[in-house]
Amino acid sequence: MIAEILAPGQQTTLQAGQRRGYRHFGMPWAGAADMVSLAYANALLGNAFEATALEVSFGGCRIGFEQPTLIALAGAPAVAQLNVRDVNFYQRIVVKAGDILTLQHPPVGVRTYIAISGGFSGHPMLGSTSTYLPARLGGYEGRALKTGDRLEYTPARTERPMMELPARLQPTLLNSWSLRVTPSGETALLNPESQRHLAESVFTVGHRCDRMGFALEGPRLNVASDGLMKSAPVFPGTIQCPENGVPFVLGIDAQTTGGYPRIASVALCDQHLLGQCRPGDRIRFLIRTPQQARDSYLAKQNLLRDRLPGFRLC
Amino acid sequence: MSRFDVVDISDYCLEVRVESAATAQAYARAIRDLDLFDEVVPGLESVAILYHTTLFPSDRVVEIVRECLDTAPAEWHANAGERRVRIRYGGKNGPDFSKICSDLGVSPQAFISLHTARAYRVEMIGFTPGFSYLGGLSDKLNVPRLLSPRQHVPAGSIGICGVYTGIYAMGGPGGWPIIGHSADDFFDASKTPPFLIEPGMSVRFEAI
Repeated sequence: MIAEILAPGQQTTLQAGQRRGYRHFGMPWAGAADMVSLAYANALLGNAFEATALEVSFGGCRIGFEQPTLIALAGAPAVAQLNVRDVNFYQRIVVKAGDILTLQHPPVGVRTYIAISGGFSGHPMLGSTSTYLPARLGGYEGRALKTGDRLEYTPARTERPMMELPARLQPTLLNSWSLRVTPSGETALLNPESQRHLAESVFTVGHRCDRMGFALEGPRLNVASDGLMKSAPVFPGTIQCPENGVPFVLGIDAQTTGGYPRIASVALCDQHLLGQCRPGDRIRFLIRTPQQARDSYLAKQNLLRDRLPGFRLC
Repeated sequence: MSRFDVVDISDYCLEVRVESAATAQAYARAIRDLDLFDEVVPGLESVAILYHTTLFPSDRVVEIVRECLDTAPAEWHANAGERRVRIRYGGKNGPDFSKICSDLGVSPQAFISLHTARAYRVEMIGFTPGFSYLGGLSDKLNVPRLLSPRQHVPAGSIGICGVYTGIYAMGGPGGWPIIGHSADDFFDASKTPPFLIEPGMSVRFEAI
């Protein structure tokens, strides 16, 4: 069964779970930049939370389905139509042979997930089908989708009961964020004024914003670095600050080591939000100790338990 | 008396601070061999350990790590092994080779004998999947990065930069001058581990 890409939008890739356990070989994780939205889209169809789905950045895509199936949308909320009829996010959508799904541009957030019953087929590589663009691996020929690409899917089936998500429980996205962060390896290199800026200032998501990460515009930070720091391990959520004083946040495709001072790390409980931070969005950081952040993780995990039983934020 | 510090670098990662890449590699291997953690990643003077915060309280992770490292070797892991890598220098295989030889004022033959004379240690793998930093390059071969990086360097390319020579295990962007190419399979997803070159190994080049 085939879904054909009629228009790919700015960047659409196949994403699933993370490619874990190979960072010591320099292999980044990849996977859905917003794993909670991926889990919602899949759970609505009774798929495994990490079944392979389309991650559409900034909307603007059209997909034709050649056989009947079920799909679900989650994440960045764009006006969506099946043929000429508007369809809702966070609901199962019945697709007939020949139907065309059109996704407009989302006014907030970045990434919309299109899940399909049974998941799309992606190229498995080291335990994940997720696309890692810089090394051209996983997904669909390791690349972003183009017009005319033909994605395979299996007949509709369910692996677990389908989830219902009442409107009042559906996540909403805004254009300002409060993200919990902990100190990281070189936080002490920030002078007291810069530490205060990090805790109190409002930063803006920079123009260049992709799966590798984004810059934080705002007050310049002062790091006492001689530029000779030895390369150290970094992860999605690590915030580094080069000598130019403009910090940047690493995304889900984060490289495995970096040579700039690591001044903070976005807490595990808030990392899924990084996938929806959009150029121009405002960010405030809430400084937490590692233990406070772990408590917040458990609290959020409990909150998600009712809606996504068995799902683990990581 | 402990030989190292253990610090939080996030709410789900600890880092062991050490003095050298050799110790970082040896410790990373010892901790990875416990098979308890999702990721154990060495840097040049540190090892990061990513743990499940719901499975292990962080103070328990610190205990496990300290216990493990008390008996771990503090130098290169003896079992990491040696690899011979066959390399074709220059021409299409090494687009920057001639220019580097003339910049350095050495003949191609002299360059090749300097580059093949030593065993290099895999000090770190990173930057792009499987890219290995091989330490111990002759200081006669010290060159800077390219002014503008290439969009795509083919898998198997071999470069030099500063005190390192390096192997691109997979294709990808790259800023190191490329001196040659090896047809060896540096990455094979069907193998365990999938990368031919592992941290801590020693590598020798053989001109063909």
